[in-house]
Amino acid sequence: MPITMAFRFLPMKDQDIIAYLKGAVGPAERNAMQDWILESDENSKRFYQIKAAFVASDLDKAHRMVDTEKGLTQFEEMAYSKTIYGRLVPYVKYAAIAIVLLGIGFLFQQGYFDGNDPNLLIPVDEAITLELDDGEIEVISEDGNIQVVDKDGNVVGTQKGTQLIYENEVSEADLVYNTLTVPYGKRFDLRLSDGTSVYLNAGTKIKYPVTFLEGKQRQVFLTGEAYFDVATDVERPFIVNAEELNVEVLGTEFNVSAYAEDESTSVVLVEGSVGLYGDGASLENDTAIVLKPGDQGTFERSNRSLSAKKVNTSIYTSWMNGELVFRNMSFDNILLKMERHYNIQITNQNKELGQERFNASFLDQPIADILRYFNETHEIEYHIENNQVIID
Amino acid sequence: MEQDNGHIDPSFISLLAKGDKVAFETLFRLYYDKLTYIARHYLVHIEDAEGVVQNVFLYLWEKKTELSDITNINAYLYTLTKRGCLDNLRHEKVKRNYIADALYKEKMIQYGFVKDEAASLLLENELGQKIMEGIDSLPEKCREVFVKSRMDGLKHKEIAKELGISHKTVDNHIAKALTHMRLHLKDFLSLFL
Repeated sequence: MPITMAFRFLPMKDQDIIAYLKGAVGPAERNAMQDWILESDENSKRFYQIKAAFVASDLDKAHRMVDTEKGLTQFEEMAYSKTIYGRLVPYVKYAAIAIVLLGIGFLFQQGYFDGNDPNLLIPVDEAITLELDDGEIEVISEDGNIQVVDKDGNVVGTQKGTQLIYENEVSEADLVYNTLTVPYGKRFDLRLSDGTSVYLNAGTKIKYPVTFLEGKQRQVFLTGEAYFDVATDVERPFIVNAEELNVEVLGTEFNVSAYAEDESTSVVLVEGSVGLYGDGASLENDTAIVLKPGDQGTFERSNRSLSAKKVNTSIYTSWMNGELVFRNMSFDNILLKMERHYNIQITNQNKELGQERFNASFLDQPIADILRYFNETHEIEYHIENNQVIID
Repeated sequence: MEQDNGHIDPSFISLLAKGDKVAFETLFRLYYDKLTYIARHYLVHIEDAEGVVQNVFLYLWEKKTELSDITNINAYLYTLTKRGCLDNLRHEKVKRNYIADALYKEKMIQYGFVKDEAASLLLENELGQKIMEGIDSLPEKCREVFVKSRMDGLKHKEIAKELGISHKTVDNHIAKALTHMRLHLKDFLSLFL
């Protein structure tokens, strides 16, 4: 391959090495870089030095990329069970001992007991999936590295950690759609070809074109919850179609919550300006409303009415940090949010309690902590049965 | 605790040697994410990184009685991680549809990187330094609650009563401590020292 050969004998610049380390190079450059590294000891030394510095510089961000709680549960399960098995302690006793040692958090380890024990709660681990235009479905693993390829074999999207990035602004004649589905219990980020960032909450599906057309409005379809940071483009308005509601913007930041099972769709505006109108209407209609920063617009699906009020926007965007913030929220609604966040099933047998309203905030912490909080501070009793939480 | 890299006080090591589970949890919380992150940069298949580091800790647990001789736990953990990565690279097979040649090149490069002494020295030092920097103090009240809960095994209700604070405050302190533990463990560690 002549291109590779041409690259090969050029001295590499430090920037090229860093671009390679960041994964920001194409296959040909990647190949050329690898050849260059292996070409001489001198080259490899230089590469190793830069790579070591590159790795070291991000070492204190490691906790963002690694799930220590999950690792710790795994470790404790393996290390401590071996010892106890060695002493031939019966299975049931082992479970009891371990629970005392590790607290209720131990209950939520994944897969170990495979649901044999009715008292254990095991969150379902579903995959994030990407449906391509031809209907083909790819599974995205959170530490994987997939590439989205168009029908001509060009790479249009690349996964970097928990983000899928579309960079190709090649103008196509027709819209080609991809659909990203994030199951309960997970979150994922997306960067569209126009530079718009979309942060997807658990239980969310978004359909979007691989590239937007020149001079046409940019439109995506959402079910679930997402935070949009829309790239400004006065020529091409950005429209989110969210369960019968349309959110039209020029460039702004806002959160849309449009779960199919909720009775309303809500839009919280952080920055800029957005217009809201129902399906079949437009911004010119009398029924359309325009939000100012700090507003929450709500669309009631039953009577298709739109209203707006001032809110504290941080409550509605806290989910992006993995936090759960409930303000004056009914217990049933809180349970629904928890089901989405952790991908577990909760059944509430206490109708009265379901209507009661609560304030509570939780950081990114195990569901056990949250259940314990409600148990200890509000004396809400619960038990676990058939991998479900039952509120008594 | 001494401030040089990874020379954690011998009494902490002796707790590990005795198989103290809270000491192991502490060490795990300090190192697991950073070692996994380094391992990802050492391997060809990054998804193997967590397994490699799990094995490091399992090895440590199995060999706990021999730990008393260790003076530098940072170097020990780092070396075990490197060794695990080298083993993984050696046994690397073509798991996916990689072109064999591309995989081979990547493996050669990673192998060289793990074995490179200058790079290793830099990473080992940085690891030790980051751990020490991160071992910062928790606010005193938060620490008190945390220790009562985790080490004395008191229930939240009991702690609330004993310290004269609300359940919610106890919960908040514990949540805060757990979240920040990974980075701020100095006082927690000093309990052992």
